[in-house]
Amino acid sequence: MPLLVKIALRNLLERRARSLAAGAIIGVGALVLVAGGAVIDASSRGIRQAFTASFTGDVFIAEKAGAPVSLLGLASEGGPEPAPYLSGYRRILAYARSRPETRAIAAQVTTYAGVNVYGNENREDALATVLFGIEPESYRKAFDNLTLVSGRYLRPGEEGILLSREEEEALRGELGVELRAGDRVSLAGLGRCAFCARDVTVRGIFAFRGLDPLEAASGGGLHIAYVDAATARALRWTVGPPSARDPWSFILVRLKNPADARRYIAGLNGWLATERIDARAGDWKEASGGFGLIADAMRIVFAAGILAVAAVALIVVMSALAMSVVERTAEIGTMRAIGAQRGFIRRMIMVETLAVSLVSGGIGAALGAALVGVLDLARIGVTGSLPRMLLAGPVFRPVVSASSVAWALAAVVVAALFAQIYPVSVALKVEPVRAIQAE
Amino acid sequence: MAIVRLDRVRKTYALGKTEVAALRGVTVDIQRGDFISIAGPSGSGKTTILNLIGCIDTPTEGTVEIDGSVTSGLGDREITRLRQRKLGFIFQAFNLVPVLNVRENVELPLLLGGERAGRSERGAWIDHLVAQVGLDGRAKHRPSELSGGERQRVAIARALVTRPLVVLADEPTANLDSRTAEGIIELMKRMNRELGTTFVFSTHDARVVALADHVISLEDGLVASEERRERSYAAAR
Repeated sequence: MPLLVKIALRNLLERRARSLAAGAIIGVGALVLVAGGAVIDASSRGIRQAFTASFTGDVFIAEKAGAPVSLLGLASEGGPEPAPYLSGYRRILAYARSRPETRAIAAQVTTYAGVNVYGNENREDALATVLFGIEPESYRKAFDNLTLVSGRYLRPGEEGILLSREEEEALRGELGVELRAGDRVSLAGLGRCAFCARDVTVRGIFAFRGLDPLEAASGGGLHIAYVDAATARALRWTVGPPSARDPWSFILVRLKNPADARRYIAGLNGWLATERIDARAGDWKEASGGFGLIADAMRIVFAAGILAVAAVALIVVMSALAMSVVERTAEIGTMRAIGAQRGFIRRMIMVETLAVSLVSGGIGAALGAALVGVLDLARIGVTGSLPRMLLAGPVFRPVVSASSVAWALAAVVVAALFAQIYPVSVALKVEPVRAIQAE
Repeated sequence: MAIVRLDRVRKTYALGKTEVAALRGVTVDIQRGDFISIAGPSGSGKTTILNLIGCIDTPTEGTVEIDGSVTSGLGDREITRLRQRKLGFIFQAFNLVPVLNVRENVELPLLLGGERAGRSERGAWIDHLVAQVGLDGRAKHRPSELSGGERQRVAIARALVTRPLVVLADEPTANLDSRTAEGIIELMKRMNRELGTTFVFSTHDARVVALADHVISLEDGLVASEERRERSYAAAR
């Protein structure tokens, strides 16, 4: 073992209590980072899966507009409005179909309506609902996300609506009328299409098979219903080229491998620019209209946590090392007197810092991984839509990823490297004459 | 030719707003193989002379020359290299590295200097020195397991391991009882004769001074007297 490493490690052992105290703080920090990283990873994965599998797909294509466009529409100043129709719908569709990464494609047109029991003239009884106008066959291939509680799925070419169980229960609770498949409901347009109205047949009542991310994220205030595209178009103020032959607002693409999404989107946007099509492709976060930002927000909170842990580790390690250097002034002075260059002293302290950080960080990370393993085996049940979405399902299954371990160790090492700056500067100021002064 | 030369060296220290003169124009020549005691009462400038020769302090005026090189003007890197190659140090408080054992402490200066000699050759030399100072049975012991005299023996072996021109010892016997102190000076003297290494040590102990071949007595920062008592290694050559 090189002398430098030998001295550094033995010094750490010699000052066992202080090394253990610093190591314990670093270890706990690494544990928190790894375990926290596993929870965040599981959560991010859960949120992403919930949205991509149920609503947004991996790639979302919409017409460019002056305001942010999501699957819920155009976020204009006066409130949400239907997104414009895609002017290059057919060409985009052909492009998406030609790409080998594509697994399934669905088109959608979104609008809003108040859903009311047929014959009830009181508009205030209507429930505000986001209507997803779809082509049933292709949509079902892309998003097999509904379990029918009663009735059946929409059929190609027919008018009709699929109501969620929650909305049906809300209408029943409010009006005392139980809706069944075959009943009629009235749809009244909202916003600029306040005078638009359609009556449609309830074809089925559904429950979301997995999670209802929109319902979870909005706290239950937002209902989603599926209607045939013609009904949706009839209930919206037409925005976009009136000559659009295929009035769809969105194309949603699901990929064989969701990890290809970024590359796919970049390629598609390049192609759209080359073809001068006034549309753009985005990811599931754009499509979800900000709900997907929950994952980003959690990441930011976690990153802040990493910084806080790193700062604490930094202060603890710095203090421990600085005290150690002060105690060893005579020893360092002696080394300088008998021929140690400043670089040797610098490296010696760096090795001490890294040894404490890596050993205790490694142990902390291993304990963190073990804790995550125990949590995974415990199969902790999760209730409530939001907790379920945030914890990726009805059973909490965190998984340690290599990246969260790497991040934890990197944070610890970076903190250690910063932590040694002050002790090293103290040590480098020790002159050989201090060896003579030692008594 | 002198291997160490101090030429009209003055050294003053600031003590608050006043200046204290530790050396007031000292000229000393040290020959190869000398066994010199720098004697004098406390505050006479003994330690200051050793610090200047050891390149761990710089003169206010005058020059210090080691083996033909004037030390003033050398950078920290060159000074450190000079100390490592040409000087050995023995300290009053022994100053061994507590986490290294006897053998490792002795080897330390070689490793710090990036000694390129073969491992076996280096090992044999270290073992020889450890044996010479009578610690071959305690090579694996840490300093905390040794007596004061044994620690100073380790320090002597460490000072000699790089085959320096000069070994500087500041009050090497101050922390030892008189019998042990005598043994340490005898050991240094034997090393001086066997290896030809120059020894310069400071002391205010008259019994230790009596063992030196060459005595430079200081008083108030000036050389009060200089006395050669018998043929030193240099004279013998």
